[in-house]
Amino acid sequence: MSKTASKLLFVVVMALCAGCASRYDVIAAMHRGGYDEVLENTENINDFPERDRTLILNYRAQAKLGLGYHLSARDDFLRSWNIMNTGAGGGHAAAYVIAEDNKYYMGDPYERVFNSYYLGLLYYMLNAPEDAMASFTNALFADTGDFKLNEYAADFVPAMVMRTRVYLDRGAKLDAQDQLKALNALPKNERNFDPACPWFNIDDQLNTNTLFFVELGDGPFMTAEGRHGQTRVIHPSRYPEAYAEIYVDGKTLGRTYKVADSFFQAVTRGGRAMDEVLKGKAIAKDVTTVVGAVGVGVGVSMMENGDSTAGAITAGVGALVLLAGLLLNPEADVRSNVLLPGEVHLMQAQLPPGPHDVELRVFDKDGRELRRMRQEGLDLNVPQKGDAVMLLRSQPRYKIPLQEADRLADPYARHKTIR
Amino acid sequence: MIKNRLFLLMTAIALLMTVAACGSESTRVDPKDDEEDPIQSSGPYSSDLLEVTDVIMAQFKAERVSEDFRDQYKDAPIIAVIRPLNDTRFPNITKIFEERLISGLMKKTTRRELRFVNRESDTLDAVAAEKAMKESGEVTDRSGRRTKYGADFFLKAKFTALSMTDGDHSSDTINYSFELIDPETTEIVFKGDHLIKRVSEKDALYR
Repeated sequence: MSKTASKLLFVVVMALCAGCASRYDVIAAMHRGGYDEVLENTENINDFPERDRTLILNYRAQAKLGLGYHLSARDDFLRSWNIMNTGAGGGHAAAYVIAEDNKYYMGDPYERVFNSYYLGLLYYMLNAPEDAMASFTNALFADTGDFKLNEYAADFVPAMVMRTRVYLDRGAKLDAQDQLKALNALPKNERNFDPACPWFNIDDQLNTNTLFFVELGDGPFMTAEGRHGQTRVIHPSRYPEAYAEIYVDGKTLGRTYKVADSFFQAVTRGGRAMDEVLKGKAIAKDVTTVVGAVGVGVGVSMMENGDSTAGAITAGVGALVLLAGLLLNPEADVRSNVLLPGEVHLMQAQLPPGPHDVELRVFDKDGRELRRMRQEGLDLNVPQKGDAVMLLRSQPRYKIPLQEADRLADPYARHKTIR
Repeated sequence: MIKNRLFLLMTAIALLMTVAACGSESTRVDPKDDEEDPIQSSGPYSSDLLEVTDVIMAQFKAERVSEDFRDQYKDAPIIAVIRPLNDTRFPNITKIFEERLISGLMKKTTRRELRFVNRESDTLDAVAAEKAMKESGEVTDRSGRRTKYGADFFLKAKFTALSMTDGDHSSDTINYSFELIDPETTEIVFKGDHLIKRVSEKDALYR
């Protein structure tokens, strides 16, 4: 091999390695410093490879939400919403030929559902009910595989509950009833939601003004399995939380009810078109690697036996096929938003307008309280008109903004001031 | 020699594939021209919003709402734009639509023809606070006016959509409807709509 070819080989290897640069480990960042660490790490989105930026935006939005910067979180969820729902993606050729994770992250359907759901909640909490309505509608759209065949019909209950609330905010009681009818027509599958949830009727919806969405546990994660890692497997996370109980001003409102399960959402929308491509790539990788190696071997033998021209051609073609086989990476893309919760629980109540003191207690499946997850002294302000919405998480716990200014603050300006 | 040539060819292909994924640029495009937009979405484009607000403004003129009102009351009618209802799956279009509609109508008419009142809750809160300060003498009050203008007409818009997907394609048919309502009698003075359908295809990578 000439010196020029060797140099070029080095450049190619470096370029390909650059394409395989290590991913941002958000779980490690959360262990190191929680949402503050993620917020700091992700300040400059342009520091990350283009193909990962939408995922990073979702991480940053989640961190801002967790720290109580609702307006800024909404902006990031909206930025990523635009890419996940109206973008065409990118890195297609490299994803097909080299590795799937060269494509721009756009999220699986369940990740798009959660993105729209958070965006809708934040719009609703920031007094933009019509934008909230559109976001919740899109959450259901993203959860729907094929309208024509009525396949994978949307079954994400939190979006249905919130669409009901927006209809009531408009004064459209009949539309709210229609939405509840659709909710009550869902299969009563306890893996998806608790059918015993008592607020799925118009009377209770009309007679409540406060919604608590309590997130429990961690969401699913993905691994690449199989000989070449070509099979993407979605795993549920294990967590002890089973339900929560909410106290307001020292009195219990009762237990929460599960309205969404992110693992169920992740695995109940059929297979991916990409899975077939990856299977084909895995087979092609085996074949090209073997054929290429044999070609090189035969070519070298031919040259050793005096047939130098034919031997060189055979060896060259063999090397080409071998290189193609080595470059072909059938490994499945396992990037996912691992900051999502395992479950979403709901509590609705009618509370007098004004300030209230909220306490969250979390329990395991045997009814034992998980004491370290108890959250006390949470401030809730119920408005004279409209709903109060409180978003809580067992762990890592969400900060509740103390004042409107905190909710609207620029997190980076504030963090720099603190430093 | 052959080995080197083959190797150089492979090198060039691999480099091209790697470089193809890099780089970004920003280009200013005409908001009225869909064809220039590299985004191939089935959702509303800026050109759609411009088109719809132009349709509403044209109907406003055609219905001679201002002329008829002025003939009867010798003053321009006061319009309040009610929050548009967004039943599509696309957030963030309500505000831009509302802003564009009001500014478009104000650009194409004079205060002698049409007048507008702001009914946004944050504006009303600020107005109430200002009035209270004037009442208390904390700030000056040059005109002595106290009464807010009532609306002679409500302009109401609603966006509804039929959104469908078969996994490969998404289609969104959005109906932009609008009506002018007499708030005293609830009479619909005029009503119109404008339908726009868009279809987009998803790459198999993202199905």
